[in-house]
Order: sequence, then structure tokens, then C-alpha cells
Amino acid sequence: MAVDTFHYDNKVVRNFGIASMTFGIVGFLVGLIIALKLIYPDFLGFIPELSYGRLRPLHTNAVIFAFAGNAIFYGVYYSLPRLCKAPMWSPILSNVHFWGWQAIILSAVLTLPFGITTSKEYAELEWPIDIAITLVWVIFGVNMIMTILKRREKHLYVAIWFYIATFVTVAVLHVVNSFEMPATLFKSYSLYAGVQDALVQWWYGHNAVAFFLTTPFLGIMYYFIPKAANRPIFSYRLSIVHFWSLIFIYIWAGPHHLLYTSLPGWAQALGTVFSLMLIAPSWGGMLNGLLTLRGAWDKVREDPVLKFLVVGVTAYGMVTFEGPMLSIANVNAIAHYSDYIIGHVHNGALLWNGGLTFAMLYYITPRIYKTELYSVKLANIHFWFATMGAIFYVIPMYWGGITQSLMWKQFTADGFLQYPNFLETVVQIIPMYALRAFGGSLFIVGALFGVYNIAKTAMSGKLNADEKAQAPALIDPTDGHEEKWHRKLEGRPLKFTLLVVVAILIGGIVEYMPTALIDSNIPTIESVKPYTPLEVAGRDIYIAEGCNNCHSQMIRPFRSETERYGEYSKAGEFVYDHPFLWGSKRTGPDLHRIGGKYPDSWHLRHMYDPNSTSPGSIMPAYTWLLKKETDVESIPNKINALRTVGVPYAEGYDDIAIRDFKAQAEQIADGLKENGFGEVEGIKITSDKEIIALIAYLQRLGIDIKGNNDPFEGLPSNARMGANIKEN
Amino acid sequence: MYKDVLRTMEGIEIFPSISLILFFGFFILLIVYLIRTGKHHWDDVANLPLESDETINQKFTQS
Repeated sequence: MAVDTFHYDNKVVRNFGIASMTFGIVGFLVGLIIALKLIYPDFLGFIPELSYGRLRPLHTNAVIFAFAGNAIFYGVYYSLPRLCKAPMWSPILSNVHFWGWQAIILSAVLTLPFGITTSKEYAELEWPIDIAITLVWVIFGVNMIMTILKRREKHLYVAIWFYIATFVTVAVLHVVNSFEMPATLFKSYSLYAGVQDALVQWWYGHNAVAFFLTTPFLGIMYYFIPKAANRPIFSYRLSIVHFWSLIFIYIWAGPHHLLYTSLPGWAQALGTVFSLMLIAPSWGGMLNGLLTLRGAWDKVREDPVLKFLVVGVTAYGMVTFEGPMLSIANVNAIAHYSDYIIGHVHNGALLWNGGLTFAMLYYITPRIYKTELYSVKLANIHFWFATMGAIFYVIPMYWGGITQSLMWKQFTADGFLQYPNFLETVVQIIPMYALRAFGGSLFIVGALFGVYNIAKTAMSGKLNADEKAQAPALIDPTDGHEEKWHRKLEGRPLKFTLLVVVAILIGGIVEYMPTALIDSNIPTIESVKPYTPLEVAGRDIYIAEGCNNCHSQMIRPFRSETERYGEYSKAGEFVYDHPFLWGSKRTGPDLHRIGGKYPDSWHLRHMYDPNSTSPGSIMPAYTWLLKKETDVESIPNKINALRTVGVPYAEGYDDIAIRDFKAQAEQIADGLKENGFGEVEGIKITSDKEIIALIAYLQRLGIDIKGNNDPFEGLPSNARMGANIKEN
Repeated sequence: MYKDVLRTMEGIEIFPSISLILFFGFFILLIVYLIRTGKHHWDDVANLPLESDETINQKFTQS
């Protein structure tokens, strides 16, 4: 049997490493900026592109898809060829993947700050970019699967299973959650509405955490901990149970993001039960990682790679304990919508994803540059900055989150809300926001030390771009004796992949199909009507400005919420909401029943200067809404697109929608003028301004169930619209 | 259309129970299988990440 000689491509590995570090620093800095904006709302002035609502999605997308994403590919492109004893199948695809992924990141930078967003969390990018993501992801998958098929090691090591699960599941999640109807080049409407959209979104959102931030990093853990500790994984058998139970159970857990919402109760219950079960595989994996270090703990004292790995896996253990606990309904009732969740995710993001990423950078860089790490001491300093930074970030968020949540729920002895003014509960936790910004800064300083150290290391060596390796054509691990069941399966990548697909599809199908198909799950409410064209435009402005990043539209059935906001939200109220806008955190109050609560002039003043109506508010001013004109021309296209996804606008309504739009806008502008708000500090408030559309939308929110008012009444098309809705 | 298909399926309520038993059974069997194979059965594959070029060549010359 001849020995093959081949070369590993270290150049693409290096490129992904540089991209991960670069975008990591950018993503962290954007995070720091928005953290500072919660303390100093006028920080950086009121520039639309730098407002909190637009930058927060940029932060989350940058750290998830640019920092962690590139880190995943960094780890996969390094470990997969070495485990397969074969170079990546196609260097061209490797490069197309690399540059394609960076182009997608660039497109996020060029769209999100400009208000081009779908509003669905971690899936904000608009439809043309969604298509590009799909293509690039398939390129990655083809390259990976082909490498596996051309391997020289018959057996697939556990890390590869996790990579396979990552590829297939993210593909399914991304495609299903991105079904949307384009209205214009940069605007689309989700195919799903309200409750169904929420269910699909959080099936996606939760499993983006599971299959983008967890499974690939578990693969990385299974490769790099044994490498760094120079001993095999504690229990290979445990890893088999870990893998199958984790991927099967994870996919069911999404509804725990929607407890106490309008989602049907049975779906919520499934989410809770599967989330609780999830603790078993998660901790199985964590213990498997940590116990690998048995007898090697002395190395942890010396080696920064192991330090980052150990703290990363420990944080994973903490987060995966917290997750199931937060999924218990009565714990969720306190933690949900609060900053506790922000603390929870950063515990995972900073230490688990961040820790493993920096461990890889410190491990791989000296090896591919054939040199020593520039400074072990500096890496250790980085380690402490990262750890302390995370602690200073996470604990204040826990503290502040619970404090605020309890204040929301506090009643006086007489049965009134103790803190009826939402703002009081915000002001209370601003010191915690300040501590969080301090913690984040520590983490960034540490990361900068890391980047410097890695750069110096690279400069002290020379990239071994094509690393020579040798292996026999195909090593048969069975050595003649018969294989059984799982062992056999581990040598058959296509069958293995197929089984993974089956395991991950079941949960999603069982939860989604009945919600979509059985009418009684979403009881319709007759008085709920579609939005008028002006309200549609206003809703799009709400989405573009990212209002949903701080305001929920989902009143849970608690007395503390119905007292504060009004009647709790019903599933049938959201049937025309493409996409749903329930939100996931309340930095500001819920807005589902804001309609009719204040006069139009209040909203005008509030958007122009939040402090004028709400002294001490940390909401940024949206002065540009008073100056910018609403996009009228796209209204017919939007009406058409919405009709396609199921909103019952009459055929041909798109032709007269602009007339309705203008008539309603005139009514609002006239009303403002009559009350002395025809002008605000020299700015004329005319009917074509964005603020008018936004006011129309806000005043419509949550009022449909209060009576049989017709939103189209008094508009030119009234008769035609009314007839059509009755038909439906 | 799908709704009608679902409604007309006879005995659809037993499907979830069957799925539960199948998957519970799968994990029980997996665990029984893994216990029966024994720890050392997996030693070679657990060592895959640790193989360097030299150990591969060694393995090659042995076979």
C-alpha cells in the first residue's frame, strides 16, 4: 500500500482567523457603542445610521456571523482536513466561501445601519442577502462533504459529526425562516404572520444558538481539547450519546422564547419540557470536555490555550444550566424581556464562543507559522481581561434585569402598581448599564492584547501555506474484524448525514404543522382588520428604525402587565402582522396597546425629544422622522406583496392605495395643525413626513379588539375595502 | 388541502405516542449497545485527533 503525499491549505485557515479577529473587534466596539448609548442617549449625536435601534442588529450580526462565524470556519478548515487526512476538496470553493462570507458581512454593514432590515432577530438581512447566504452556505457544505467523501481515514471522528449537523441544520433553518415576499429590492414581508411567524422565528432563533453557536463549537471542543491536553477525549461513548440526544432535543426548544405569549399552550409546554431535557446532553458534553483534562490540570496553569478552553467549557456548563431553568414558566415570567437574558447570552458569547475562538487562535497560529507564541504572558493577561470583563458584564446584567423585572411586578398594599411609570424602573438600573459597559471595555482591551499577540506571533514566523502531510490511501480502522451498528455508521458519511436530517426535522414539524394547519390554534377575531396603506408605511418605519429592539408588542396575561399596558395580547390580533413584532426585550415599555393612549401631538413631541414628554428617558431622539419624507411610490408594491402573503386587500386596491395613504396622512397632519403642532422648532410638519406614517401605525396598535371601528372609514376606498374584508 | 388530509387520517392521535416510543427506544438501545461494546472498543477512534504523521506511518508499516 502506497503512502499518499498531500498538502493542507493553511492560507484559507489564516484568512478566516484574520477575518474573525477583525470583525470580532468591530462587533465588540459596536456593542460598546450601544451600551454607552443606554447610559448617554445623546452619545454620538442623533445620527440615524448610528441610532441604537439600527446598530443593535449590526452588533448581534457582527458577533454571531462575522466573529463566531469566521471562527467556526477557521476551526473547521483546520481540523476537518487533518481528521480526514485529506486537504479540503476544492481550494477554489474554499476561497469562494471565504470571500463570499466576507461579502455578506459587508452587505450587512451596508444595509442594517440604513434601516434595511426584516426585523427578525439574527435574520435581519433582507432577501437578496438571504439568497447570497444560502449560496455561500451550500458552497461550504459541498466543499465539506466532498472532503469527507475523499478522506483517507475511514472513521469519522465525533468533531466531524457536529460539523455535519451544523451544515444541514443551519441550511434548513435559514431557508425556512427566510420565506418572504419581496416588495422592493430591499423590502420584503415574511410569508408567515403573527403567531406562526413568531414560532418559525424562534425555532430559527433558538437553533441559531444551537447549531451556529453550539454544535460547531462542540466539534471544535472535541478536537482542540484533546489536542491541547495531548490526551484522548474522556469518553468517546459519551460523545455518541451526547451528539444524538443534543441534536434531537435542541430543535424542539424554540418555544421557550414565547412562554406566556399568544402561542398555543401545548407548544409552549413542549418547549419547556424539551428545554429541561436539554440539560442532560449539554452537561454530558461539558463534563466530557472537562474530564478529558483529568491528570492534566497542571497544564492548565501554564497553557493559555487550555485556560481559554476550560473557562469556555465551564461557561458553556453555566449557560446550559441557566437555559433550562429560564425555560420553566415561572422563572421565565421574571427573566423574560429583562436584561437578565442579555447577561445570559453574553456569558455564552464572551466566554464560550469567545474563549474557544481565542483558544484556537493561540493554538493554530504558532503551528501554521512554524514558530512559538510571541508572549505567553500577554496571552495570560488577555485571559484575565476576558474573564474579568465577562464577569463585570454578566453580573450587573443579572442584577439589573431581576431588579427591573421585580419593579415591574411590584404592587402597593392597596393593589396599585408601585412603579406605574416605566421610566422609574429604567433609571434604577442605569448604574448596572454603566458597569456592563466597563466589563465590555475590559473584554475589548483583552481582545486587543490578543490580536497584538497573534499578529506578533505571525510576524515572527513564516506561513506554511501548503503544509505537507502523508497518509496511506485509506486507513481501515476495522483491521479486518466486523463492525457493528454505530461504529459502522461512523464510516458512512452520507447515511450519517441523512439520519441527522431526520433527527432535526421531527421537532420542527411536530411543533409547526398543527399551529399552521389547525384553525383552533389561532382563533380569529372578526374586528381585527388589515393595516391601511399609511399604517403599513408606518410599520415599515418602525421596523427600519429597529423599535422592536427595545419595545415588545406582547402583553402577557399577568395582572402586573394588564394593569400597566391594558388587555393581554390575543393570537388573533396578529393575523395580519407580516412579520410579527413581539420583540424580546423591554428597554422601553410594551407598545401593543399604545394606540389611542396618547394624542398624536404627544407622539410627535416624544419622537422629536423623548425628554420633553418623559423626563429622564434614555430613548434617542428621532428628529429625522420629522424631516424625511415617507416612501410613497413603493406603496402599491407593498400592498401587492402583502396580498400575496395572505392579507385580504381587494384586487386592484394597490392602484388606489396611494389615495388612501394621502387622505389619511392629511387627516393626521391637519389634526396636529389644529392643535398647534403644524410646526416644531421651525420644522414644518407636513403630511408627507415619516412621523405622520409612524403616528398612524402607533395609534392603530392594539385597538382593533376594543370595538368595531373600521380603519378604512373616511378613506376614499372605504366601500371597496369593506366589501372585500367581509368576504374573507 | 393539508388540513383535510390530516383530519381524515384515522387514528392520528396514536402517532405522537408511536414517535415517543420510537425515540425513547432508540436512545435506550444506543446506551445498551454502547455499554456492551466496552470502553476500549473505541480507543483507536478516540485517538484520531492525536495522530501525527509519525503515528500514521507507524500504523501503516504495521498493517
